[in-house]
Amino acid sequence: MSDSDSEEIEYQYSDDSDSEAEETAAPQEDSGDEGKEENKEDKEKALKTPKSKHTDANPNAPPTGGSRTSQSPHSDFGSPSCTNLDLPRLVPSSSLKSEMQTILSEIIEMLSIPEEAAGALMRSFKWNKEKLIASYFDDPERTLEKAGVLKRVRAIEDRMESAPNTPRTPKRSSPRATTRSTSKICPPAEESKGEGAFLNCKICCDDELTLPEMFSMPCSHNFCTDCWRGFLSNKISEGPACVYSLCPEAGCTEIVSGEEVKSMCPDKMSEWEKYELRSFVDLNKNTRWCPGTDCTMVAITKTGSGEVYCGCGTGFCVKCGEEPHNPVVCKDLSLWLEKCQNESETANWILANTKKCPKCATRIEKNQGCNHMVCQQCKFEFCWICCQPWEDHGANTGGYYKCNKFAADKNSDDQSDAAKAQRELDRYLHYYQRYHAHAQAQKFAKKQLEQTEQRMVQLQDGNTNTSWIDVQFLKTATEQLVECRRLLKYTYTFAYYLDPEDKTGKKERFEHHQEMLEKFTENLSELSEQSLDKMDRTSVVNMTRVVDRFVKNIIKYVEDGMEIDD
Amino acid sequence: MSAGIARGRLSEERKAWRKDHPYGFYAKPNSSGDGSSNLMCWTAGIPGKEKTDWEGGLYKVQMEFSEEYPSKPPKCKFIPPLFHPNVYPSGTICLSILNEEEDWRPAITIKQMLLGIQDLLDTPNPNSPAQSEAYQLFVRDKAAYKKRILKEAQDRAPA
Repeated sequence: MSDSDSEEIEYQYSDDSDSEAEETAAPQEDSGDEGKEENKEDKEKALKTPKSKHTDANPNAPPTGGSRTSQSPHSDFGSPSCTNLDLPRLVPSSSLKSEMQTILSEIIEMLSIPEEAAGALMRSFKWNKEKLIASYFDDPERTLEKAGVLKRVRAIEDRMESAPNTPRTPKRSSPRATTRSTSKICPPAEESKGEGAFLNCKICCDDELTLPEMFSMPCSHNFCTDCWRGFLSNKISEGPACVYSLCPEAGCTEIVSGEEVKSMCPDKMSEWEKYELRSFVDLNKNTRWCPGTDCTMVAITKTGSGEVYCGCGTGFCVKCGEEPHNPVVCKDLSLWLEKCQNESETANWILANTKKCPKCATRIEKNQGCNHMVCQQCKFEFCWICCQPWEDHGANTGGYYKCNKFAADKNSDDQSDAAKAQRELDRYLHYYQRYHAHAQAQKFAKKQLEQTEQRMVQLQDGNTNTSWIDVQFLKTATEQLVECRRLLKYTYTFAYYLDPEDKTGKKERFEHHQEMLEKFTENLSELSEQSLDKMDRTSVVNMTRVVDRFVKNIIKYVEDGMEIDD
Repeated sequence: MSAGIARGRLSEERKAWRKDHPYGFYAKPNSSGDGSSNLMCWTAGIPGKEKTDWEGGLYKVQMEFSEEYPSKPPKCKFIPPLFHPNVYPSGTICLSILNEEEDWRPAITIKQMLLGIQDLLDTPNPNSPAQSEAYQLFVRDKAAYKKRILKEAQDRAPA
C-alpha cells in the first residue's frame, strides 16, 4: 500500500471548506474556566471583517456535512497532513473494485495464482490475508481444494509447464505430485472423444452435441453452453450467494468464477461483479457499509476498528456497526443493549416518558433537551433526572450535579438472594434511567438541530448588522449538544460495567468527569434553547468551548486507562 | 438449462433408467388418469441394503419435479412416512444432495438420488433430526431403535 491510502480521506467540514486553515491553527489551550473564554471571543470578533469568509465555528465542534473519519472523536482530525494509515477511510462503492484489486494483486503475486482463484481464496478466508497465507504454506493442496480453486490453479501451472520456454515462477515449497488426485465423490471427467463424435450434456441430456457446443470449468466437467448459461443466470438471479456456486457436476468442489460468467453470460457480468464486491465488504472485518439509509459509502480500515462519520450524516463504529459508543467497548455495548431489551418491560414500567412534578404532581412531558425543569403549574424547579429541587444542583450552592452517582441502599447487609437481586435491579435501573434520559435528550437535540437553520435565519433577520456567518454559532452549539448527549448516554453504559466495589478511586474520578460534562451540557442546552430575543451569542460560544473541553477530558481519561492526570 | 428443459431431461432420465438401473430398485413416472404418464411425478422403490437392519424392506418414495428442475431438486418423500431420524413427519426426506442450498447439482441423476436415499437409511445423521420419535430413540436407546427398524423392514417387505 502506498500513500494513496491517506489521499482518500476527505477533510471537509461543515459547509465552508475554507475554514480548514483556521481550524488547524486555532489555539487549543482553552481551560475549563468560563472566565478565560472572554479573550477568545474578542479575538474572534477582531477576525470578523465583512470580507472574511471564516466562520466562527468552534474548531472543536463535531463537524457535519462532508465526510470525516477519525479513530476517536478527540483525535486530531483537523490536521490534513496526518499520516496515520490506520485511520478508517470512507470510499464510494464505485472505488470498491480498485480496493479489492489492490488486495488481490498482492495475493496473486505472492502465491502466483490466477486472479479468479485469488478472489475465491480470499472469500473462503473472509479476506483475512494472513490466515490465507498461513493456511496455504501449511497445506497448499487442501487450502486450494477447500476454496474450490485447486483445478483452476493447477490448470494454469500445467499450461506453464507444457511451455518449456516460459519462465517458471518461484518453485513452490511442497511437491504437488504427491497428493494430486481427483476428488473421491466427483466422477472423473469423461475422456474427450475424437472430433466428429457426438457428446452428451448431463443436464439437458442432449446427446447430439459437438465439442464447440460444450464448455467446462478447469475441472473438465463438460456441459452444453445452453445449460451453462441457464445454470449461471439462474444462480446470479438468486442473489449474493451466487459467488459460492460450485460446478454443476455431482460432488465436484470446483467453484464458479467471473471467468465462466464472462464467457457464458457476459450480460450478467455487471451483476456478478456487484455481488463479488458486496461479498468483499460483507465478509471482510476491516470494511463496513455505512448503515445510513440508501447510503453506499464504505468504511475501509486496517484494523477493523474505529469510528466513522459519513457525509450522509450517519456515524458508526466500524467493528459493530452501532452508533459510535466510546467510551464503551463493543462487547459491553452489545451486552448492555441486550440487557436493556430483556429488562425493557421493567424499565418501561418504571420510567414512562412523563413524570409527575415532585411538588404538585402535575404530569409533565419533557419535550426539550434540558434537565432543568420548571413546572408550568406551580413553578417548582427541579432536576428531571433525580426529581430533586434544582437549587440543590448549582455550583453556587456547592451542591453540584450529584444525580449521576449510584448510591446503594443502606440496608446492603441483607445477603438474601431476593435482596441481592433487588439491589442489582436498582443498580441497573439507576444507570438505565440516566442512559435513557440522555438518549431522549439526544433525540431532542437532533430535532433541535433540524430546526436550527430556520432559527438562524430568524436570528439574522432580526438584526440588520448580523451576517450568516455570525449566526453559525447556534448550529455549532447544537451539534456539540448532540455529541454531548451521545457521549453522556454511553458514559452510563460504561459506568454500569465498572466495578461497583472499586476502591482505587477510578470510578469516582470517572463520575466526577461525567458530572462536570453533565453540568455544562445542561447549561449549553439551556442557553441554546433560549428564545431568540434572549439569545446571548457570547455565552453560547463560550459554553460550547467549555463543553468541548470536558468531552475531550473524559475521553482522554478513559483512553489513558483512568489513571490520575499528569 | 433454459426454461422448460425439465420434461426433456426427465424423459431422458426415464430412457437411461430403462437401459440400466441398480438391482432391486424401481422408478417410473406416475400415470395420469387417461393412461398417459405424468413425467413430473415419479414413484420409486428403494430396497434396504443387504446386511443392514433395513434389508428385506422395499421403501416407496414419491419424487415431485418442478418446472425449474434440474436447477432445483425434486421434492422426495417416503409414502407412507418412514420411521427415520432424517425423515419429516410428512415423509419428506432431509438429505444434503436433495437440498438446493446444500449439495444439489443440476447434473445429479435420479439414480444418484435414489442410491443416496438408500445410503441414508442405515447412516442417519443425528445432527439434522427431522422427526422427534425416531431421533429420540436413535440417540437414547439403540436396541429399541434397532428393533423398531427390523419391524419397519418386515412391514414393508414386498408381497
